[in-house]
Amino acid sequence: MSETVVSLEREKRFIGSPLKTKEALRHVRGMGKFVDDIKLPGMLHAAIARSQLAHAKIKRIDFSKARALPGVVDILTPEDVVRMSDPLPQMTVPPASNVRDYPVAVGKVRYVGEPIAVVAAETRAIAEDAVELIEVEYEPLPAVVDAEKALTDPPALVHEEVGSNIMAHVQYSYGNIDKAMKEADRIIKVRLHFHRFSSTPLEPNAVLASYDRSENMLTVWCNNQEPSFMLPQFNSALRLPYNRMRFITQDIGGGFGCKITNYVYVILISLASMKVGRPVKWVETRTEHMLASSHGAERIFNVEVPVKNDGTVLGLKILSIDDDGAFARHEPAGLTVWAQVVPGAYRIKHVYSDMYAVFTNKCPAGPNRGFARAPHSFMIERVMDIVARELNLDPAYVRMKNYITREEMPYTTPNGCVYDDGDYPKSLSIVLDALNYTELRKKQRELWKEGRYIGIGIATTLDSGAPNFGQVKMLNPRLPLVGNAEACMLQLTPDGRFVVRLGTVPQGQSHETVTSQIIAEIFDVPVELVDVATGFDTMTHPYTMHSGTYGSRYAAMGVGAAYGAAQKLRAKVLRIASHILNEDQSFLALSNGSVVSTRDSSKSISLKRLSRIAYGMPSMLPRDTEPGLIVVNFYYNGLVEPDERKIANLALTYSYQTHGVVGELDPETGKFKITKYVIVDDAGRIINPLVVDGQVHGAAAHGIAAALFEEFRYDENGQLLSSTFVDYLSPHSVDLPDLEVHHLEIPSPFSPLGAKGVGEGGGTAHVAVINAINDALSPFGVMLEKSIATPEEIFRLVAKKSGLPL
Amino acid sequence: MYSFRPSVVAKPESEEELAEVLRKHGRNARIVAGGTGIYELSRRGLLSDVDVLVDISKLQLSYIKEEGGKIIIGAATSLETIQRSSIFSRPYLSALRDACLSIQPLQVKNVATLGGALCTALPFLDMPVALFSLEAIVTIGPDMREMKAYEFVKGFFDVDLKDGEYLREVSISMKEKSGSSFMKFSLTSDDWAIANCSVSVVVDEGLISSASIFVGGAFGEKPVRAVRTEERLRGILPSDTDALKNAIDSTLHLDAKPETDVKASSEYRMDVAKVLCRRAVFQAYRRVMT
Amino acid sequence: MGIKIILNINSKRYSVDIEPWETLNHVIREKIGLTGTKKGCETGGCGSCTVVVDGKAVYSCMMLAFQASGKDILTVEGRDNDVLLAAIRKGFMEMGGLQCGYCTPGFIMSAYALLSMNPKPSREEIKEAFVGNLCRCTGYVKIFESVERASQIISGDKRE
Ligand SMILES: Cc1cc2nc3c(=O)[nH]c(=O)nc-3n(C[C@H](O)[C@H](O)[C@H](O)COP(=O)(O)OP(=O)(O)OC[C@H]3O[C@@H](n4cnc5c(N)ncnc54)[C@H](O)[C@@H]3O)c2cc1C
Repeated sequence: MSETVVSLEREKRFIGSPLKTKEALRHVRGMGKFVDDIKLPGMLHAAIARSQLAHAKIKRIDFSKARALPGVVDILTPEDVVRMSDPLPQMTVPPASNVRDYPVAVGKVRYVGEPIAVVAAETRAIAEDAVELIEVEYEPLPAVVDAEKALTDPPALVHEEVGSNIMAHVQYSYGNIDKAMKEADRIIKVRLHFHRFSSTPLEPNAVLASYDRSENMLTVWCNNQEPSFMLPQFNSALRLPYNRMRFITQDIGGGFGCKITNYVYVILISLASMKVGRPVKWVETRTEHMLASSHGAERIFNVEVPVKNDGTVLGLKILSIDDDGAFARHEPAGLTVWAQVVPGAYRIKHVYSDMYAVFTNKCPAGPNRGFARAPHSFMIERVMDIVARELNLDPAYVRMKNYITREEMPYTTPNGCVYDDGDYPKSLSIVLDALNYTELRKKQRELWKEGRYIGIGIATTLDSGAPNFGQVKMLNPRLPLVGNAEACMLQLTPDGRFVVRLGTVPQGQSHETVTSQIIAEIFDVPVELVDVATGFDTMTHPYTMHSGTYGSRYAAMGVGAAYGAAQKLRAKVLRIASHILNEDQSFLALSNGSVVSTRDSSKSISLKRLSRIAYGMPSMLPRDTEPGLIVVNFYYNGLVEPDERKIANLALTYSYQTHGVVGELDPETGKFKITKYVIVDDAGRIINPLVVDGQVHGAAAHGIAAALFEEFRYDENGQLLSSTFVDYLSPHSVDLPDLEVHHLEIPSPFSPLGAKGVGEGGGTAHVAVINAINDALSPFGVMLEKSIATPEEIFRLVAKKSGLPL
Repeated sequence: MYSFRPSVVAKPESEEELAEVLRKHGRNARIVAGGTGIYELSRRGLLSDVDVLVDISKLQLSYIKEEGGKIIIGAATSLETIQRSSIFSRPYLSALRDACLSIQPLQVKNVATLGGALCTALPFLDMPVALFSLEAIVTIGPDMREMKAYEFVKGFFDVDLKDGEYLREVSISMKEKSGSSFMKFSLTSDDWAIANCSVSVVVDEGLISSASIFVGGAFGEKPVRAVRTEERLRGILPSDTDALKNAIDSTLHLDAKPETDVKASSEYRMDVAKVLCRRAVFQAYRRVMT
Repeated sequence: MGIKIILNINSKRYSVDIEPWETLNHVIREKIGLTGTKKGCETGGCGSCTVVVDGKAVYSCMMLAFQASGKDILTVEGRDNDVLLAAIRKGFMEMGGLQCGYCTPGFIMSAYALLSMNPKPSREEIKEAFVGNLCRCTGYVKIFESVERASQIISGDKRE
């Protein structure tokens, strides 16, 4: 494998170039095809009636006025759903898995915005009007909104059949935490609250379902990020075999993990179509998206950190509680996925983690960019700063002291993860140089005298990619999932062009472009000859149960599958050429769209002619060769399931990033303004810098937004207070700092082309900004517990200690 | 039902026709100027009884004139036009431009009108606060009734218009030795004000001789006048920062009673308003002095 | 019921039956079938619905369709031989000013309004022109660069 990488290096034409993306061609003309852009004959429009209350018994629902509205065709009621479908399979274990999870509320509502019924009408406006006419009579119950209370002192049970509010409880013990606690000079206690937010993609969830009764065939256009992974869900809820369901995704307007749990809506709208026998389209409103699609989980940490006085961090003893909302949809997988990055970038040997996930009366939590690793990394990077503060050391020094070094790579973590390669100290050095760190620290102290407070924040996180599904077995050993595999189908068409069909389901990561760069490279043809089918289709694309885009997996998995397919096809092309040209294969090369002999230039055949032969003149093919030039390739990342001690390598690549932030605090208002932002990113081999930089910028923007602006806030009754972009504040162009990006390009020895996944970005920006704010607050002797720093919160902290700066 | 489902569009060609339509349909008619506020109102379910939309684009109500010692702005003048007009860079008018600049989306400012901004009558809007501090007068058609803009806005979604009436123009008297400033504090650029404050001062021999101060952004049903702060500021030298701070910190809360909502607590709003007020007074003063 | 209006979109005339409460966005997408213009929120501010009306960027989801009657409307699909639009598209493609593509039509329209008034905007001016457009993928950096590139293209500058 490494041999091929070297040979690519030599002739590299497309790999590594900032090729214009193919996707861009259509988007700049408004020719993208998103779900809402599709219309079918006879199509109805759906609107969803939703719960107004966080927790209540449903005493009665009166649909009569809604049904009477002209233009209303039918209403899918909770009774219909129970009659037509089976509850959704649960990832968790008993008793929590006893929950009967339907896509609508049955008997009781458990969060504000929970679907109650679906109206299908001739127009969207009529459907919305009808929803207003549905009368629901509730008997309110106390709402469970505080995760700690949900566990220790529950005001109510979200699901009676569970007997408590515990969704899952898992313990991990790596190394020997007791020993670390004994050897420590000090034990530092840290409490942190990672808040609820999500990356709120601009395109809302959308489903267009069309059920054909005569064929018993369901066709669904949706924007789910991993439809093939959801097949068991669809199968059980819709009672249809896999080959009677077709799921198609085309352009997806951003996902970030938030579009994984929309399978619930895929099912709901499919049921509506099955009931009315006509195509039904539903497009979520922004408010619906905020209320009832998917929020990143909250996590509360209580951590004890055994340290040496020299700054060495010996271990982490963690008690954490995840607030996962009303249903376990994809969660509590967050209790396992963090384990991909147990010690962060550090040589921490002893980690004990006691983790709970609880049900609350809030929107069900689901993955969000940096799923489960972002909160964990947040904790580690806060711990590094707090340790520095407690020991009166510089936070950069503490990190340098604890980093895993390049010499130790590949590095095996206490839980068996194998960090592929990287140079964490170097990444920090670059950041420190760019910030002019030593000078800046001096200046910071001088400015205190003038009543000015600047803060400097740094953080290093890992963005583990191509995850091992076997990790879910650490929670539920019975789940039939392990490793990670991806599929690619590659065809050389009879006119000498290429068609690629991928199992990945891109949402803006330019898989069409990057894949065509790889194919073009291997066959030495112009990228224009390579067409990558848009989106995904369970009927025509190959897939595995892991297919999709999540977990920073494309760079290894998608690329691996495509690369392997190209190798397979190349081998067949060479075999055929060898036969036709009567030339030994070892003297054949692909060059400029032809196969040529390296020793006799008269021997050459164009790919076009060769493919005509392969499809049309089988008699000219070598005897053992099938006609046609289509290959399907499956790439498996080789990862196996964890052992009984929960030890295994849980991801294939471990890209990392170090960020440095400088900002100034206005102590009069609490506003923190970022004045400088530096990023060092190592994504391994970069196939397309335009694409990688885009991911790096985007991840930074999400992190900064989470630190400063974005939060799903609930009141004590479980009402969501931030349900539109007016209250849930996402940053606009002038709200973000300029980003200075540097790259380290240390290839992964494990992935097919040395690329490391980068999509998620590890949440570095989030904690780097929070570190900077806490640094600015340090002269006041105060610290934030939460992972969001609103001006008001900062102001309060400053006010507590005002007049007392050091 | 909350839906906004009018069935008719009227497009009067003259102010007489406008008054006629408005009189005829009363509560069931609604003027559409830029339409950006209409959207907000309909979303809140406040337009369910509206059947006739009245498009005023044919009336010549978009203008900025200087006449008889006054600046007169037509009700249908867009915020973008106001922002671009050099008139509003004069010290005594600057608050209005500050307020325009503080409203971010160009897509809104290109169509949103000054009349719409006043008539939407939401307590956290920016333009009204600036207009109030400039002691703007509104002219109401068709009878050319005049009143203070501050009194015209009565409360939440409530303005002093009777059936058949409409807002025609807004005028601001020119002032000597006067400077103004508007300041807003919000969480992001696109966000509504947590607090805003507009100040207009008259300066005599380097000291403030009178001040007009309004605070908005969830301080009750409409922006409030900080009467006691205005009084305390008389005779103050704003560059004496301690005196300025004292004057404001000791008085602003006596008139302005902020609310707590998802964005901010009442206490914090007050603290921020005091900071804004101080900064706005200082800037308004600086604008006269330079 | 309904009323009939004429919409001039991308230099073509469309006669459409609309309801008074229907937004320009709804009519463009659902009745005329130009689906390039998007919709991403219901409060104004996301900007994915931006179109250019009489030379100015507006939110098509906050403008009632009748308000646009008789006006000159440009959507991302554009008209033939529009040099400025071609330059903007090229800028976005070359500089990677988009990822998922959902906000792109709105950004392109805002860029169009900006560059037609101000062909050589500064970085600050570009940022301000986009405050009314939300992008969740790019962190904006490459969008700014795309507009700068488009500005270079229209002024005939060569790329370094
Ligand atoms: C995304 C967004 C962001 C915004 N941000 C801000 C901000 O930061 N700060 C801020 O202050 N404002 C902000 N606004 C509000 C904006 O200022 C108002 O929506 C706008 O000024 C209303 O003007 P319009 O012409 O669009 O009014 P319209 O929508 O046409 O009308 C609004 C109301 O006023 C009535 N009306 C309009 N003109 C007249 C008249 N001449 N006589 C009688 N009644 C009339 C209408 O009948 C209607 O009831 C924002 C709005 C949006 C959509």
